[in-house]
Amino acid sequence: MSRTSLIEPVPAWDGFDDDLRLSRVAAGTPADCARFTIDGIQPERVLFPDSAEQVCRILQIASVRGVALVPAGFGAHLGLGGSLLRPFAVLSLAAINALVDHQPANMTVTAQAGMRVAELQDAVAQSGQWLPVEPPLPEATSVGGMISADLNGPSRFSQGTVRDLLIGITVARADGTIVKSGGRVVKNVAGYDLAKLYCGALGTLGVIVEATFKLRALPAAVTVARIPCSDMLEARELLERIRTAPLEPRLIELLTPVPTAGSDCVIVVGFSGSEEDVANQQETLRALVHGKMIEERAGKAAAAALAELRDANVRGEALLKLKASLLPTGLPAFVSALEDASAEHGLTMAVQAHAGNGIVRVHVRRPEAEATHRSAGTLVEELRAGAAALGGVLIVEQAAPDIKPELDIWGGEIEALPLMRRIKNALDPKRVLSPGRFVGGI
Amino acid sequence: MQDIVGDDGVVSHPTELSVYDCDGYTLEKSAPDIVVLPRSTGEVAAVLKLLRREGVPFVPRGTGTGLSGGCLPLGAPVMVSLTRMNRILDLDPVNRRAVVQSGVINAWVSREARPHGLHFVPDPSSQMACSIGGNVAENSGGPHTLKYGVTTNHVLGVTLVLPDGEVVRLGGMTEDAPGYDLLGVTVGSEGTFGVVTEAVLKLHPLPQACKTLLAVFDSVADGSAAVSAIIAGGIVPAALEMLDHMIIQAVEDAFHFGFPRNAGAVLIAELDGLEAGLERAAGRVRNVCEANGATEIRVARDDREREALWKCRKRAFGALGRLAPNFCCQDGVVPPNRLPEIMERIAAIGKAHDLRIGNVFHAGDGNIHPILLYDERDRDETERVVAAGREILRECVRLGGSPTGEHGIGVEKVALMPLIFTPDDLRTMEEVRAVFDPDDCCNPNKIFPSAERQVEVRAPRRQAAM
Ligand SMILES: Cc1cc2nc3c(=O)[nH]c(=O)nc-3n(C[C@H](O)[C@H](O)[C@H](O)COP(=O)(O)OP(=O)(O)OC[C@H]3O[C@@H](n4cnc5c(N)ncnc54)[C@H](O)[C@@H]3O)c2cc1C
Repeated sequence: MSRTSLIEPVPAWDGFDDDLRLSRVAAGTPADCARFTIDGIQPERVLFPDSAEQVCRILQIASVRGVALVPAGFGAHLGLGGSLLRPFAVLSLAAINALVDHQPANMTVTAQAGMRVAELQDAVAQSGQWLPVEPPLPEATSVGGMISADLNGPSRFSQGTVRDLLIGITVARADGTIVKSGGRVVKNVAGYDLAKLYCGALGTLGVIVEATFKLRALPAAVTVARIPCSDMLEARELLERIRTAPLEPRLIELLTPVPTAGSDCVIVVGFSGSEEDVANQQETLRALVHGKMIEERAGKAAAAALAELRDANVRGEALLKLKASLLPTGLPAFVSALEDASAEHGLTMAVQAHAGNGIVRVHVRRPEAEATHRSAGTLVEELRAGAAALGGVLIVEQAAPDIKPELDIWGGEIEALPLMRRIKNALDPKRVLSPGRFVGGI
Repeated sequence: MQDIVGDDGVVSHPTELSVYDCDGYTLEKSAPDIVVLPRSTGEVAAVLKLLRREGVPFVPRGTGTGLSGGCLPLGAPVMVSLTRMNRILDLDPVNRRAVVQSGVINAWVSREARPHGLHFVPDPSSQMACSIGGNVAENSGGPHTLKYGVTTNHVLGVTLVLPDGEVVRLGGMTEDAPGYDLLGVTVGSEGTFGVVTEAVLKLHPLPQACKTLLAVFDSVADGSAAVSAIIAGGIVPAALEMLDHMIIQAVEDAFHFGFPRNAGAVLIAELDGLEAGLERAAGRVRNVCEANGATEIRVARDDREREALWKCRKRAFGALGRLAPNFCCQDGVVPPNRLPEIMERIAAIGKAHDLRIGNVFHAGDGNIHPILLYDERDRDETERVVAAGREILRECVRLGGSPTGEHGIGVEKVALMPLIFTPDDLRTMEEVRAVFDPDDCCNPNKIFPSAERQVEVRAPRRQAAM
C-alpha cells in the first residue's frame, strides 16, 4: 500500500457542501447515493455537474476540502478495480451528454462523456455508421465510462479496442484545468497521445469530459454461428482450422462451463459485411466443420446473439469474475488449470473467451455451502499462477463485497509500477480521484 | 564508452560524424560529438547510466529517415544509434506476433512473416530503410494504414531503457496489460522517453485478394472530390493514394510505369479482403470515381503490375531529384471532405511565394504531403519554402486538421504547437514527459515550444536521394 495513505486528509463535508451550493452544482438524492453503491459502500454525495466548468469547480473544491471523487457515468461498471480507500463522492457526468459533432463525411464523432453509448450508436446509425466498440450494457454505459474502464466486446478481434478508435480527448485535470490531446482527424501525431493514458485508468488520472472517435460503416449483413464441440480438444482443433481458413471473422468466441466433462462447449463465429461476403463465409465455415450441427442466425436473431455475448460478463451473479490475458494458444491449457481448481475447491465456473485475442473471462459461481474467504483468495492466486505459467496475467474484475477486501485485485507484479505511480503523482498529486481503485493501490 | 560497446561501437571522427548531422529533414543540421552503437538492451542501459553519471544529454537514432528533424542533436552531444540491434528475436505465426530489436528495418519483418501468410501492416514509403524503433517513436503510417491502422495499433509491447538506465517493459506479449497504457503514450513520443530496444509487434494475415485501380483525373480537385466521396460512402479501401501532375511526370520520367503524363492527378485505390466480394467493392469505387470526373480507370492486371505501381508510389520522393536540387516534404492533415479546399489553398500559396509544389499523399485519411521544391543555394527561395510550408500547415489547422499526420513535430514544427494546444495542454504533456525523463536529457529541445533552441543552423546541403 502506498505511503500517502497515512496522511490522507480528513474530508470536510460541510465546507464541501457549502462550496458546491455556491457553485450551483446539482446534488443527488439519497436514492442516487444508493444507486452508485460501490462494493457495498454508498457514496457520501452524488453530484451531477452540467458543464465542464462545473466539473472543474468540483475538482478544485474537492481538492481543498480533502474529498475523494469517483468519476462515473450511470454506475454500471463501478465494481471494477480495487476498493476505495476513503469515503467518497461520486461525480456523475450523466448531465453532460450532448453529441458535439458528427461528421459523417469524415467518419468521426465527438461526444460529451455522459452520453450513453447506445444513444451515440443510434445517432451515428442514421448516417449508416457505427462506433465499432461493444461495451456491455451500452444503454447504461457512458462514453466516458467506456473509455475509463476500457470496455470492449467480442468484435475487438476484428475492430480493435477503445484505444484504437479514440482519436482525441478532453479531460478535466485533478487541479481543475481543462486539457486536451489528439484532435478530430483520424491521423494525427502532434504532441503525445495522452488519450491512451486515460483509457482503462478507471478515472484515476482525470475526468473525461469529451471524446472523439473514428467511425466505420454499418455492415449490411451480420451472421452468428454456434458450433457445439464435445470437448476442449475438439474445440482447439476447430479454432485452429478457423484461424487458417480463408475467413475474416468479426469475432471468435469460446464458451464453456467448468467442469467441462459431460457438457458441451461452444465456439461462436460471427461475420459481418456485405450480404455476399457474409454468405460466402458462412458457406466456407459450414464446409470447414463438415457435417457438424451448427446453428446459424442472421438479421435480428444475430443481433440478439451478439448482444447476449456482449453483455454476458456483467450479467448474472457470481462470487468472482476474473479476466485472464493470455496468448491465444494458451487458452486450452488455461481451461485445464480451471478444471483442476474447480475440482480442488468444489466450485463451478463459466468461461467466455475472446479466443482470437487470448482474453478469457471466468465467472466463479457462489457455492451452495458458504466458501471461506481464504478459499477465494487461494483460488485467485492459483489461477493467477496458472495464467503466469502461460505468460499471461489475471485480474479480478468483480468480487462479492464480503470477499473483495481479502483479494489481490490486480496481482502483485505489475510491470513498470513505479512509472505508473509517477504518472499518478504528476496528474493527481493529492489523490483526489478514485484513490485505491487502480493497480498498486493508486 | 568503448569498454561498454567495443572499439567498433563508437564513432568520433568528424568526417564520419557528418553522416549523422541530419535526418530526412535537411533544412537544419548539427552533428553529435560522438555516436555510440550498442548491441543489446544491457549495453544501452550501461551507456545511459554512464551518460547520466556524467550529466551528458543524448539523442536516440534509428536509421535517420525521419522527416521532422527528430534525431537532430540539439544540445545532446551523444547519439545512441540502434543500427546494430537489428535481429528479429522471435516470430510466432500462430499467435501472430513478432519480437524484434528496434534497429530492425521495417520491411524485414513482413519479409520474414510472409511465408506464414502474415505481414506487419504499417508500411511507410521508407519501409526499406526505416527502423522499427523509428516507427514506434514517430507512430508512423503508410499507404495501407488507412484500413488497418498506424503503428500504435500494431505494437503490443516495448522494452524501454529509461534515461537513467533503468529497463522497463511496457505492454507485453498479451493484450490488456494491467495498469496505465504507458505503451500507448510511448508510441509517438518521438524519442523523448528513453531508448526503445525491443518491440512486440502484431502481425496480420495477408489479404486473400487485392484489386488495385488507377483512376485518372483532370485536376487534383476532381481527384480529391472522389476521395471524399469514397470515404463518405463508407467504403474503406486498403489504400487511397494521390499523385498530382508534377509528381506523375517525375515518377514517369524515373520509372516508366506508363502513367498518363498529361493527367492532372491519379488516384491509386486498392481494395483487399476476401476474393468474393472484391469485384463489387471495386465497382463501387469505379462508379464514384467516374461520377467525380475520372477520365480513365485502369485495373492492375496481376501482382507484377500492382507491385510496380506501388514501387512508383513509394519511390516518388526519390524521383524528385530530377526536378530540383532540394525539396521539403510537408505533412499535414485535413478532414477528407476538406481535401479539395486545401489543394486549392496549396496552389495559391505556391503561387504567392513563387514556388513549385507537388503533391503525393495518403488521400484516404486526409494526410497531405505537399512537396516544396527549391535550391538551397538560393537563400531567398529557401526562406520562402519555410514560410510557405508554415502557411500550408496553418491552413490545415484552420480546416480542422493537424500540422502533422505521421512525421512528427521534431524540431521542424515546434512553433506550430501553440496553434493546436493551449499552454495547459502543453504543460500536461511536459509533465508526462518529466515522468520518463525528469532531467530533460533524452532528446532535449524537441516538440515543445518551451524548448530553448541551442543550435546554429548550418547551410543545408543537397538532399540525399532515397
Ligand atoms: C522517402 C521517405 C518516405 C517516407 N515515408 C513515410 C511514410 O509513408 N509514412 C511515415 O509515417 N513516415 C514516412 N517517412 C518518415 C520516416 O521514415 C519515419 O518517421 C520512420 O519511422 C523513421 O524511422 P527511422 O528509423 O529512420 O528513425 P530516425 O529518423 O532515426 O528517428 C526518428 C525519431 O525516432 C527516435 N528514435 C529512433 N529510434 C529510436 C529508438 N530505438 N528509441 C527511441 N527513439 C528512437 C529519434 O530520436 C527521432 O526522434 C518517410 C521518410 C522518407 C525519407
